[in-house]
Formats: sequence, C-alpha cells, structure tokens
Amino acid sequence: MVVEASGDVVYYPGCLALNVYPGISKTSIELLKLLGVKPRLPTSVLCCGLPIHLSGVAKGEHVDAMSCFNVAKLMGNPDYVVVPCNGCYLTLKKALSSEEFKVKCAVKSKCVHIAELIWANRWKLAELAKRDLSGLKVAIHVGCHYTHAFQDSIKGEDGEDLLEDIALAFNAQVVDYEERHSCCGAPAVKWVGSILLELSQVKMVSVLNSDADVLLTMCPACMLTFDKTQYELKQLEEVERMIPVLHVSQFVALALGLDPKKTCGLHLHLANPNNTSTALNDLIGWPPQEEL
Amino acid sequence: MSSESSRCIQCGSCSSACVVARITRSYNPRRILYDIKLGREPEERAIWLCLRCHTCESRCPNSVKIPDIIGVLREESLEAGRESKAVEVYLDISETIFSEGVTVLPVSGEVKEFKAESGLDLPFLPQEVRAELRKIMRSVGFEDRLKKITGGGLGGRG
Repeated sequence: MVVEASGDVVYYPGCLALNVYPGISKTSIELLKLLGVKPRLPTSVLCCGLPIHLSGVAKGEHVDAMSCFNVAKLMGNPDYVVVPCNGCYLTLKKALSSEEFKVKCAVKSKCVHIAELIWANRWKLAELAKRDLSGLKVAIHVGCHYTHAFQDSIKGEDGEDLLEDIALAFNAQVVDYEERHSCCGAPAVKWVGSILLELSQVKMVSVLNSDADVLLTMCPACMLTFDKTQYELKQLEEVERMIPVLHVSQFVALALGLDPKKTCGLHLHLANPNNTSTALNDLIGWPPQEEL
Repeated sequence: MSSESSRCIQCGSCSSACVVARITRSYNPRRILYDIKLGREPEERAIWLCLRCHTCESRCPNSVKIPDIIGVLREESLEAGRESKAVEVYLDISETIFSEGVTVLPVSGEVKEFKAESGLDLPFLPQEVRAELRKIMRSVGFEDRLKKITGGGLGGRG
C-alpha cells in the first residue's frame, strides 16, 4: 500500500486534537514538516459529524454535506487531508473514497491518517531519534474505527498492527494484554452510561495489568476514554497506578527529542508525567528543567 | 437493510466477537438480524447498546454491515418518535457543532494558552460561514429531521 501526502496538504485536527489534546496537533504538524510536507490548516474547524451520525441523529447524506463543506469550503480542496483521529478518518475517507461524492462535491482530495504516514516513514524517522526508547514498555490500542471499519487498513508487517511496527522501529518493547483488540467504549451512546463504563474499565484494567509504561494510540477519542476511565478508577482506588496515554505523533515526537511539555503538551493529559511514575519520566527528563 | 441482513447465515460470529454482548445479555447482534429476517421489530433498547465499532462486521464471514443496519434502525426509531431520550446529548452536540463548529470547546485555560502559542488558535466559524452551513444543512433535510425528532430545528429546541 502506497501512503503519501504531497502537493497541497491540509492538516485537519478535528475537535479533540484541537481542544482537548492540542499536543497531538502540534506534534503531527512538526512530524509532517520533518517529512518535507508544509501543511495548511483549515480556515475554521467544523466537526466531521461522526458523533451525531453514529447516534442516528444525522443520516449519511447529512454527514456527507458536512464533509463536502469541510473539504471544499474550509480546507479549499487540497490534494491531501491528513487527520490524527480514527473518527475523522472514518468519515472523511469514506466520503473521499466515493467517486459519486467527489463529483457531486467537486473535490479531488484524498484522506490519510497521520499514523499511516508515520508508519510508511518509520525507518526514516527512527534515524532522527534522539532518545533511546529501549527501556520503555508500550501497550498498543489501534482503535476499531481504523482496524475494523476498512478492509484496506494497514495491518503491519507481521500482520499485527501499524502501531506495533512504529513502536518497534524506535526500539520500544511492545507488551501484550488480554483486551488488546477490544473497543475502548468511546462510541457508545452516552445514554447507556453504566455499560460503557464497565466496558472501558475492563479494557483499562487489562492495560494496567500488562505492566506497560505507556499506552500508545492513534485516536484522540480513544485517548480521552482511557484517560478519563483510569482517572476515575484511581479516584475510586480501584487501580493502584495510572499511565500516560500517548498519541503516536506524541510518541514519535518524544523519541525525536522534542519538548514533552511545550511541543507534546503532555501536561494537558489527565494522566500525565506529574501524576504517573513510569520509565517515561526519566526517559524524557520530567519534570522539565525550568520547573525544578 | 433487508438485502444486507439477508446475507446473514446466523453463525453467531458477530455475537461471539462483540464486547457489549460479553457484558450484557440485552444485546445480541445475531438476534437482531434474526428478527429482521423474520420481519419482526428488534427490541428497542438493544439497538442503542451497539457501539458501531465494526468488530462484528470484520468477523462476519459474509462481511454483513451490521453497524450500518443498526444505524438505519436508530434513524427509523428517531423518525417514528419511539425514542429521543437516547440521543439528547447528541442533539446538544448538534447545537454546538452548528454554532461553534466543534463538539467541544477548549477544556481549560492551559489548553487555550498552548493552542495560542502553537498557532492552533483557529477562529470559530464566522457568522457568514455559519449561515452558509445552516443553509446547506437545511437543503439536505437536516433541519426537518431535527424538527421531527425534537419538535424544533437548529437553535429551536425548547
């Protein structure tokens, strides 16, 4: 599978990588620049529409209208749209893979996930690594709206997943856990809250039992669910520890020596190096020098 | 929907792979497809328990698009006025999207600061762009749909 983003490229952050975890967007843009891509940003951000579509409030044609407005009006019909979120990827890739949609909306754009670009360029990026991640134990969650929603999604060299390939390229140690392929629970209709909570708890406890130092993801919605779930479990004293949840762009940026606070925005996570104590802290030099 | 569900062979791969079915007996995707095959209405509560995570679809030997079938069942339920409590949060989210552009505003002052320092402080949808978007959403029937579900369109929910 050829993965590329060239010509006129727009980085579309979506809602959560902009207003909850902006470090995802900052690191994604930095990585794109390192790969020789100078991305533009949309003039304003309009939600991709997935939350209202999954719930049944908006139908397919309504979300397609939003995608068209997003790509044609707010992004100016670029050659490529790069996204950091599985949900935005699901919505925009589905629309932009449809010839009927492209003709109707008069757009030419293709949609690529930043994780795919990192995967395709992992050896090139690994050559630029400034931090040795060999002591870091990484649990992986790719996310259902990437893994299961498309038959042509990247499965990774050994058929496992693209995040494992990336973690290994940077010498990190991948640890397995029982619930590795389970959904995080983020797409559940909020009305069925108690079931959602149990589902997310089972998953998060399985991650924590794996002895991982960090949880590596490629979707801010999954990140938010993991971050909130373990924070709540810790408050209830049902787990002993929390671990940072990193987006793949933040993970690679850290390996490349970029600033964990100013560039990666790790301090904005619920579980962050201030309230967690894993091998990550020593590796990235936390707390930052100016705070000592 | 019926042609899609007719490809189901009732093998139960979907239910055995489903994380929700593991937690509650109230949700069983195989049973939903069985009901559709027999021309029966699936149990109302069950269709709101699905995560639409596509795990079932990826395990199905015929790749039946179960999440899409659930989506249609939800849409029909809302249109028929059988359920609206389930989506109250999403009606609020719709309001936020079509007024601010996004589902969530910056969650803290620190996030705002980080965004400003990082050149990520993108403007909210300007007034004229918002008006254009609403006009488009009206033209594809979204406002009418919201009226059906709630009794009011965008900005008109009591």
